[in-house]
Amino acid sequence: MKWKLVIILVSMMLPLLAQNTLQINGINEAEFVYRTAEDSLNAYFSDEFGFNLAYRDFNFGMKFISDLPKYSNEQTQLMDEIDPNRLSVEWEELYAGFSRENFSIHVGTTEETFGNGIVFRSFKDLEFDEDHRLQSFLMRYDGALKLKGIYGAIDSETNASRYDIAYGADAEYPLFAGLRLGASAMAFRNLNPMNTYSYQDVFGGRMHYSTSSLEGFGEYALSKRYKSDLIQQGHAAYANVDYYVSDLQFGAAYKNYLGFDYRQNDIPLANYHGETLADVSASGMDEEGWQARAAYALFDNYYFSADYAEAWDRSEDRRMNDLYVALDMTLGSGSYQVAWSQIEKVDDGLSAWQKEYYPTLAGDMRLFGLPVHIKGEFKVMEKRKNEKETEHYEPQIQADFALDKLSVSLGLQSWWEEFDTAIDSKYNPNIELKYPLFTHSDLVVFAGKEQGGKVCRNGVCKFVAPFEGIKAELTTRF
Amino acid sequence: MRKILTLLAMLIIIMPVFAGKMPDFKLSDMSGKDISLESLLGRGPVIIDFWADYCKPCKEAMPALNTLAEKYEDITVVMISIDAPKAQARAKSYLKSKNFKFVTLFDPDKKLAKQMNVVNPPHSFMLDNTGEIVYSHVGFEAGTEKVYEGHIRNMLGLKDEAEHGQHKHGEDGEHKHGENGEHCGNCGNHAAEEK
Repeated sequence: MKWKLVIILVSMMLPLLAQNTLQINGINEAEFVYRTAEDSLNAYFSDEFGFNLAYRDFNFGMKFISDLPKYSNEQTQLMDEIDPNRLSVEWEELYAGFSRENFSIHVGTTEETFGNGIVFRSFKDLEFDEDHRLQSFLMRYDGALKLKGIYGAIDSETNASRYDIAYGADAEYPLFAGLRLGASAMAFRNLNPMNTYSYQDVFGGRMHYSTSSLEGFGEYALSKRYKSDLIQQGHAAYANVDYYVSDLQFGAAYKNYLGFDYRQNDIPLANYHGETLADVSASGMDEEGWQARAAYALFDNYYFSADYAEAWDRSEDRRMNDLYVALDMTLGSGSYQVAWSQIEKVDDGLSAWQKEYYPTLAGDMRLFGLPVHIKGEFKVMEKRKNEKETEHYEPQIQADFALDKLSVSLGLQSWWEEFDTAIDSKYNPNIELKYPLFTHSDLVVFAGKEQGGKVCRNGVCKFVAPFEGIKAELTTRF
Repeated sequence: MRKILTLLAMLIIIMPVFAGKMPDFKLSDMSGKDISLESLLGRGPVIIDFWADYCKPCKEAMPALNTLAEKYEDITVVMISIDAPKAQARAKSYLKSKNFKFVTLFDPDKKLAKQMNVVNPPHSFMLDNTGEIVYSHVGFEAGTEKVYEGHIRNMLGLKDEAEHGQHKHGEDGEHKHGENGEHCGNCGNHAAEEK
């Protein structure tokens, strides 16, 4: 039935071709992977085909994804044999919408945010490969007064064949020039293992003030979770201010979260590196902290920035600090950056302490007539747990350059227990080649080993899984 | 499988004849004011660049795009941030501290990005003054700005800089503007002469 509907819809598009108001945009990403890992299944294929169609006031979009099998972001989850639960071939995204003047309707897979995302956000987290998107009906009015109403469902975490429900509304109004006030209300009905639904209501209010020299945002939200006869209350408070004086800029932020953690929100972490207080628990559970930052631009050639943040829980057993300092320079035709990053975390309950810091040197320059980007990073990781101390080093270097249309990225990562073992340690080299085959098609070939996470090479940033082997990816845009 | 092939075949049939126009949009600027595509068109070529605060190549592209915006005063450079709402404050402060000559917009839920199939930043689109997409590019490598400039000059009806020869400056050293809005203070090109 679903297929017939899709084919009927596409058939209906055909007569519209004579009119120039039909717009289609799409992308196809086909990837073949040969992974040199210790599993019998080392050849993978995946394809993503998505398109969006817009005709006058209507739009319609779909995305087909085949993962044969789904390639885990976790290196520890390698498959010994084909797992039927990891094979997927389906239309993963489907939505349609209507928009006229200030009024719009959206149905299907939804990405939407109320305010700063503290009360409600329906989104896909690319970094952790998690899907928090609702299948919903969304109605919005975008006049001076902005109104949104949403009613949707998402696969339950306790039973994938059942749904959790979320619904709510948001309003925002410009009280006077520069000041906007907003309010949100959401209700969540989540399925319990006993096949009953728990209830959670969330209410929030916010303000946003903006002038040429001052930018301020504040939001407070209250959550009530009803479980049997118990009511669990939680709250979230967040404020951010930036002040600009000529080439000097100051900023500060404050956060205070308690018992405020659920799937459909995305709370600000108020530190440069986006770190949580503890890896084992979500920030919304129990976290308070502040952040201060400053930046100064000198003679258009130098740009200095500094960012420091601290956070702790209510018992102050868990504490962390986060520091980032950088100097960007433009000298002649080259540009350079020197930066220092540091993250320190303490957990007295677990008798654990860890600190990582890394200086970074990066530069764009011309070498032998070629434009070259070079980046070097030397990460030091120190850990102590139950009086046992460990330390290791993670150096890495990357060089990107272009030979006419061919972009080349060379990388080398390593992991040293001690400086003395540097020569005997294992080194992970990798190379990525990117070449535009046609006007709108790029071929990317990667060979080697990498740790995964966010990588920026050959001029593009993306999130990748830990990997060892060869990947060939053909991306076509139309 | 036959159904998938039927659908793909139909799409392949219609692909070559679709209109390559930027879909109309309305996105918030730094102050929360809504800006539409319609309000950006009509003055000359428009460069739309999707970026994110975590993206280093995106930030490396900005000075080059700003140089183009200063050199050709008829073009409009629009930076659209696809940062999550929680990261918007940092994206805003970065751009404000740089004093770039950009129109800055925010697409936190990737509504426009999804329509344009923007997945990995930076992803740039060059539009003529009617909104037709004349060029798009994923990534920013060294030398990309020269490709952009070539398209701009083409849209403005200017000859290639290499053909035009050595740059010239006004006798009094003041900045001059060509007929097509080329700002000659930095580049020394005389658009009027070329025309």
